Amino acid sequence: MAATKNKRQPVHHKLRHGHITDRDAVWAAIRELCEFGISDIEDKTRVATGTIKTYVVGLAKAGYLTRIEGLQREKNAKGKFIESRWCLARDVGADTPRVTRDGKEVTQGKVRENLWRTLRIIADFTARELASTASTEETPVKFSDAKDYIKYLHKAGYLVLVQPAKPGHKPGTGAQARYRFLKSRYTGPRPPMVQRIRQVFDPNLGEVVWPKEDTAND
Amino acid sequence: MDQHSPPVNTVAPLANVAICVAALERAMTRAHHLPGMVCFSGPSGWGKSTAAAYTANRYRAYYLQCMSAWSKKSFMENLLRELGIKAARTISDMILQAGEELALSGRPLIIDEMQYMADKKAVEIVQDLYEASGGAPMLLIGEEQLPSKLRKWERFHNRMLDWVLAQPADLEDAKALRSLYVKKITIADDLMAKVADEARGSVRRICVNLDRIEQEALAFGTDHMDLAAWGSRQLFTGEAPRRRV
Repeated sequence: MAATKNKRQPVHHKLRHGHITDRDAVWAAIRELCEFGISDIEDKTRVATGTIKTYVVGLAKAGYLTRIEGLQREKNAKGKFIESRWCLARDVGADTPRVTRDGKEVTQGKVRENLWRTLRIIADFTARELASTASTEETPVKFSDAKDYIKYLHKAGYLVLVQPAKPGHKPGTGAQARYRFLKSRYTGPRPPMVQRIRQVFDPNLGEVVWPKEDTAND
Repeated sequence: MDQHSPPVNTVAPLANVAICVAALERAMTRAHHLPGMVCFSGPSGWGKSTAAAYTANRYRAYYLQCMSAWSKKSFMENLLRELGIKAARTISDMILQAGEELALSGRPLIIDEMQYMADKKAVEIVQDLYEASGGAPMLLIGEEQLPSKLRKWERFHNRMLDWVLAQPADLEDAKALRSLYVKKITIADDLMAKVADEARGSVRRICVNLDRIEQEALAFGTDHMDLAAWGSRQLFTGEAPRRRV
């Protein structure tokens, strides 16, 4: 299908039976069925066939699934090819594996994941401290990334400002803002998402957390 | 000043980060017959949380920070939230759920502030979890007295692969922190020695002092600070701050 026809919907528009993304729903269905054809998943999740296929092929290339051999090239009574069946070979638990079409690990989103994990652990930080502590050799985190994410998490109420930034008009007077993470606002392992339309969506809750409903029309 | 800054700005060069990573790595790569829990302990302010954060990011570990008010049930509920699973009703079911998830995902678990669980005699729940997960690698982090608290639990004690102690921050650590956080000025090595010395092992105090030196230097209108220039000014040594109005 043409890409423009099936535009990706904003994440908050399509919660499916408690699953945040289509892939979450598909992975949950795969774990439940263990052995399946694409149509079984489609029946269970109502996710588009193409989406399921792409993900299944990626998972298979990454070694999570194996194709059950011996069915290819066989036709049913109507002369159509019999659907391939797949089998879950490596179950890695509830966390949906992130793979590309070629079966490579998806690295997009790792920076946010590191930031979200780190700010919870160190609890009290400036943007610079957060960036360096969240960085690993594999996933370097830029200062600007940390600063940007902090901005939105603060708006959404996950962080409190414990020491406001001071502008450095005169030398020596400037200071970075210091934030503290509110433990009560730890909603789960998935980092809150800053959507393109500048709102914060918490995938752990499945809710838009900022702006709040009543102030959304300002 | 520092020509040897690492290519990526990480906390990896800090001694306690390396110690913590090595400890968890040992548990993850251990031989099958060996136990899979390691303990990492030390006084507050020595950079345990920083080490835990880096280690957790590096191995995508699950991370749980205990609180003193936690019961066994709240321990399990919070763990399951971290695992991204809806909790079952009973504690024993929750242990099975969490154990299965840890076993399947193969990701390690870091339990911070473990002394609270040791105080509350809720150590057994961690042990049950370890058994239910089929020996998932676990890193237990806590304050200085954690090892002695845990040693009281003999069966638990037998499941520890290693007891690792946090090291006091030294001059090398101070220099690593300098290259991470001091961007606007240069600080000479002689002043760094004083900073490291007066911090008495605390990473936190080193950071406070590096910041203070930078502020003072900028206020003074210089971009270099050494021991002579610093003179008799005070460094932060851990006493409560005095109000400056």
